[in-house]
Amino acid sequence: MQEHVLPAVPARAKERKAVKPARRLKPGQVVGRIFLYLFLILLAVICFTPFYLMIINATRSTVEINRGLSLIPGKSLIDNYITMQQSMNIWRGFLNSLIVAVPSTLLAAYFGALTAYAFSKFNFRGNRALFWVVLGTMMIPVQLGIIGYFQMAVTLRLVNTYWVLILPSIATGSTVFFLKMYMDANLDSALLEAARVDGSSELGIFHRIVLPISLPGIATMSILNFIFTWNNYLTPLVMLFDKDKFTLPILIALVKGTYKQNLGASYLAVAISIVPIMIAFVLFSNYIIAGVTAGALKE
Amino acid sequence: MRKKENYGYLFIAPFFIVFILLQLYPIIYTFYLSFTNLSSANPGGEWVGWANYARLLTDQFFHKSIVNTWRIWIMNFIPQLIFAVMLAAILTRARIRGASIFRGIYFLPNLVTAASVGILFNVMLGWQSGTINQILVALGIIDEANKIHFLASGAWTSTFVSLILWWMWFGHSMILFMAAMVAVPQEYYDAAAVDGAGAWQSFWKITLPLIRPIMIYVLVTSLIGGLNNFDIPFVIGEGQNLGTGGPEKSILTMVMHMYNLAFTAGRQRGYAAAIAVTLFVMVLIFSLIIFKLMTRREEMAGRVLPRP
Amino acid sequence: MARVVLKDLTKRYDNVVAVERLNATIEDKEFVVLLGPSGCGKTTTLRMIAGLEEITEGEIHIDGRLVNDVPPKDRDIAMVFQNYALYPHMNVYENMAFSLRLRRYPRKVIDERVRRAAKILSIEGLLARKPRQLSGGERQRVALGRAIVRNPKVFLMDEPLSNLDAKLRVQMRAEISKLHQELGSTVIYVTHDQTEAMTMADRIVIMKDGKVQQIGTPQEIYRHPVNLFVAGFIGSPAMNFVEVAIADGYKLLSPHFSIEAGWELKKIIEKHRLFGKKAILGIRPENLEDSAFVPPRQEKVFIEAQVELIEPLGPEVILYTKIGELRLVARVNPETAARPGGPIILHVDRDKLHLFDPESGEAYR
Ligand SMILES: Nc1ncnc2c1ncn2[C@@H]1O[C@H](COP(=O)(O)OP(=O)(O)OP(=O)(O)O)[C@@H](O)[C@H]1O
Ligand SMILES: [Mg+2]
Repeated sequence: MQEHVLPAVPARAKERKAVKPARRLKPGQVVGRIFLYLFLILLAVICFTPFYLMIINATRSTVEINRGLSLIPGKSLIDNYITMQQSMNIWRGFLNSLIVAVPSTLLAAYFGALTAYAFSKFNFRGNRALFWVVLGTMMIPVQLGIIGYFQMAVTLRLVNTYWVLILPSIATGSTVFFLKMYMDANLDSALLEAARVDGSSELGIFHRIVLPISLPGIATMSILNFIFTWNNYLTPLVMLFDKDKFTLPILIALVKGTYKQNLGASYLAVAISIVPIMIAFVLFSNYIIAGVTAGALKE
Repeated sequence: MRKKENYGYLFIAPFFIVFILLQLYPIIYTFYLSFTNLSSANPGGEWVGWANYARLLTDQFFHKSIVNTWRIWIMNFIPQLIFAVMLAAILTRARIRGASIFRGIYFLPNLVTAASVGILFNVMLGWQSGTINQILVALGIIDEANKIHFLASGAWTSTFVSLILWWMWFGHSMILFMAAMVAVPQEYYDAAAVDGAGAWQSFWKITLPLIRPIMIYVLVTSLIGGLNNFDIPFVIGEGQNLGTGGPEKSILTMVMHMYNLAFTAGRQRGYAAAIAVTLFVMVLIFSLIIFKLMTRREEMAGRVLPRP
Repeated sequence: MARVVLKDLTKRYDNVVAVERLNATIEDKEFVVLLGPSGCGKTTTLRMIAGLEEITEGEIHIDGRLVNDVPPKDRDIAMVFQNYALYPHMNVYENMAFSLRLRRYPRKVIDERVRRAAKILSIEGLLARKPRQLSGGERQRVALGRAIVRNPKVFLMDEPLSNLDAKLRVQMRAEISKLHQELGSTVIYVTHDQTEAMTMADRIVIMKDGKVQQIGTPQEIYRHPVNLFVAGFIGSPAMNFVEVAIADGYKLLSPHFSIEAGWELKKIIEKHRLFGKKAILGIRPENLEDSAFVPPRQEKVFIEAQVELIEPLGPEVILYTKIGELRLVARVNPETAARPGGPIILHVDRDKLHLFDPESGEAYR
């Protein structure tokens, strides 16, 4: 239950493949290895089963679900969907989540890269000290200031708007940290000087040289930031009042009150909120794992 | 050129302006509010000195929430750590086929919206029609008549919250340990093997000491996250309401208590702010203690095994 | 006209003086090489001229204009970096067009210039490739091309050939020289390779510890090094140094040999009244020859030595010899019969000797 604070270091080399030649195993070792694999598979089943059952149950009627466990899909997907849509516009929640997550991710990427670039390549006084401050910001969970933030938003008339959810992304410490390490390793200062001699302005260098070259690192961080904002629960819960504006997690959390005993619809709603993340993971797992692991190594 | 270096300030300015206005200032403001009686009854919020902190001393729910928060964290963290280190060692060193697939599957629960996970398990933990009960029946562990009403029992609910957190986080920690273990030079293991160490001894004498920095990192981040635990206990409790704290208030966490006080009936934000401040101090103190304890150990480890 | 004038140019980092009161004038169309050992401040000087490094003290004038506070892009210079610094995300064409696009040249002009530069460097076939798809030599050309399209007043090059293999280096050396003649622009070129300096430069600026040691044409520097450092730095193998006392009759006396000065040296000895004083004698290896190959008419000025090591280089042979404690390196005729451990009689070309003040290291001239 760690926060998604992900300090980072440029991704490590690929996992080292074991290089020793395969030995012939003794019978005892064979049994040991079988147990090892059984254990690993069991754990994998435990990790995946809830999602699997969720998807299966999303296709079954409440009656079927009540009757007992099933590992094969039912036929009630459409019915469940209609029921679900009657009391809750889940696609509206989807859209709202996108409206928050996309600009947040873009802001975090742009300003994170800009800040990281300054820390990586400019020798201004206080560079190191201020970078420590950035590291410090990663350690502070939002929960601690949420009351003050809410009161402030009230004063500024920003409650119940997306601004309060989006703007803080400009200061995403983990992105700055990761990208600084990335740029230290991958951005040759001579390129910046070449661009300077070639006639680029300082901001132009950032746009034309630094951003394109750092794109792989930015992508890694952006996927993580997107998932993190997409999953964020407390801040939108506190800040948003209109059902129309609710993001997906807020809406999903209301499932129990909304569908009462209609389990099929509940499962379907949850599935709709989870499946996009699973797809993202399948597509980008290498990026994601690189981003997460790159994390701790520098500490 | 001096002028050039000044662009550095320009480029970090947006970050720091936003950080100060939207992150630092709210925390300071929360500190201030903790000394006021801001609430629905007192929308102006007058200065009340330490009154809110005095009230914390007698708030039974608050005391319970501290105990709950720690219990839930410890009960998830210890197995999380054991599984993570063990699996990381197995997947990096035991030449497992499909290691990267296992890695992906173990990590998957971590990415999924915690609120959705909470609701999912809330539904699955249901009494008569809950999937978990159905699985237990199908496996013959319990019979149809004795289905367990998990969410009516404080102990069960709290245990399941810890279990869910373990389920969500052991893969995450495992990935960090794997990264650390991959970074250990093979020569160390070769040297140990030449000296006659078996796999088990290599693990204790080489792997563990060398991944200690990551352990500190995992411990600190997990503790900070754990003390701020909110999403899952908030949505998983019994009944149809959110944030009830579960049966016997066994999953009422500190942040949840704070949220309930500040954002539901009564809106006692001044008092809730005092909880936030207490939490802040707790986070600070325990992080510092861990860093202190572990860094000293680390120097010792450094002496035993030279760094590459 | 692009004349670059450096006046008392100084660069100090916190506690290091990288360049100290450097004075030099680089004339229009001149090819000037900054030469010196590692860490002597060549790169720093070049970067100050480019405007990439702040000037601590002194002045830089380009074309009569004081440019101390002019940003790099407004100095009308182009720079070739040691590692080429090609933008990895742009192809060759875009790399070369980048600076022109920034200056908002019309598309047609850009295209013309890029293609002309590509033609000059014969990289027309590579325009669509990304830098990582190029060999070292090709990258080098692209880096040059990027500088050429600009048509700058001054080219600055920082060890542009140091990443190439020996053969390619020789080839590119010639090409850069040719390019310089064709383009007729001013070039300031940094290297620590004296062969590059000798073959390419109109004039060489020799630096050490941030200070200029000597400025002159390659010939001047080779024939008349102003001090022990320059004498030892230029020429390979390095010049032999021997402590001598100067005796009556223009005799140069060492514990191991004694030779009479040539007539040029005699004048110097007289001029500086060196009789009875100590000095350091410098003899270039090429001015020591196996006496077997000296035409009989020549004056016989011999040193007898032991051969320690022989290094046959093809067109010549390097002999490492010793006389007692003294070691002398000689570059002799490849037909030499000298054998390791055997004796050799070396003939000294006494008209080509150098004398230095042992205290200050300055050459007597
Ligand atoms: N940013 C810096 N901070 C402190 N000292 C520096 C800095 N850059 C260079 N120096 C010092 O200035 C001196 C000159 O460095 P410079 O790079 O000009 O040498 P160089 O002649 O180009 O050497 P090389 O042939 O190795 O490239 C060196 O002693 C170097 O250590
Ligand atoms: Mg240099």
